[in-house]
Amino acid sequence: MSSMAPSDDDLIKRAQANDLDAFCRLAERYARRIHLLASHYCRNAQDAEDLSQEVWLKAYQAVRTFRSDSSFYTWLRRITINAFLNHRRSSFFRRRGQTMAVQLMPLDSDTPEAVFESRSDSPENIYNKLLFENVVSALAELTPSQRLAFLLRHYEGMTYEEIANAMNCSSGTVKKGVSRAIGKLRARLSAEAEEPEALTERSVCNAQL
Amino acid sequence: MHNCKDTKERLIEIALDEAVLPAALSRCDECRVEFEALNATLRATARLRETVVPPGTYWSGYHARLRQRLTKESPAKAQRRQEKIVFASSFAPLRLCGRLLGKSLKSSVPVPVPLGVAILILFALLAIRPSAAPPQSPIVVHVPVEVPVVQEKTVTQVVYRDRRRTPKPTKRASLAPGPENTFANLAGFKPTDEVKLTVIKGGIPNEK
Repeated sequence: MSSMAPSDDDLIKRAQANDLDAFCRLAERYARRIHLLASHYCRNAQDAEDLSQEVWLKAYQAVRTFRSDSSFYTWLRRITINAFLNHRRSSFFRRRGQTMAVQLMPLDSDTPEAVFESRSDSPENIYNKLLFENVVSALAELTPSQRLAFLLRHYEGMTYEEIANAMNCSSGTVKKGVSRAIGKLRARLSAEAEEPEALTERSVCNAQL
Repeated sequence: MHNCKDTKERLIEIALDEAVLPAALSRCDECRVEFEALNATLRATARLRETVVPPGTYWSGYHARLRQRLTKESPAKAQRRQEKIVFASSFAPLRLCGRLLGKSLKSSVPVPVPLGVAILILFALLAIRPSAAPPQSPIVVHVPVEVPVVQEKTVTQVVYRDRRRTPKPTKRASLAPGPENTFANLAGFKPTDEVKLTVIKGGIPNEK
């Protein structure tokens, strides 16, 4: 009896033959990466879950068209980008006054609001939460395209040309968007990045209040 | 000559690629500080990639919800629906065309030809449709509007009439200047028995 996990190719073939379990196994492998992008792209945790699940739904509908020309993740990322871009056109993201993706809530729940892998309010954890809030808040000031360009460049390591092809725009536009995103983040985070201890102390005080 | 503004874009690229700052740029204090700030920002955000992970309990719920959604939408079902939509949209005009021409769809005509004809017909129909539609006449609504009357004013005009039968003056005579034609001379005139009243509505209140 072999305990080796099936390869992506095996799972893809099975998924193409309508095997839902195989597709769910694939989703388990890549869900975190997709969710990470979605949680940075959206402004609240529920939207991030909805968007990331929509990506999987689209992937499932189109899995028969996957031809192994590229890796499964590259193909999936393409679907992700399209889903993000289509979502930005809907009224989904036009709501105002939304809560941030990270909320100081009980972290052992299985709701989308519980974003961090920690059950303790350790200073480091709180610092990370506030850092994440700041990052998402700074990214929220950008246009969806600029935000997506930054995430793809910084988190996914894609080149400007790849991003431009995927987003159907010029690489100059992508470059400008990334530059703008970093400028915003730098302005927002520079103080905190230099003094994490001070921020942590402040955040602990706030959490206790 | 080194220009800090010009190198800003380059600094972002170097920081994104996690490369080392070239010696030429590290000699400039301003560029070095800028580069360090960019690096710190990107390091902080990159750290979130590792630390911002929902807990295990979240993922079990996430996958359960995903499975529920996927069960409703199997790929075969989705594909069948897609094919149905494509089939219906591409062959509906063709069927109509076939009926009109008394031909069946099962003819041996290659698919692109009738498809092209169908698209042309569709465009023609779309082009004709707006002009064929009867022009809609604008709906006229009559709404009586009451204008408030500021003040009613009664004007009494006394008309003098010459009771003596005098011949009508000719045009030439009337044009000729003379004292008899002036208003000041009312000799021989008497007031009429009738008084003509004219009521003027909406006059100016202070008018005298």
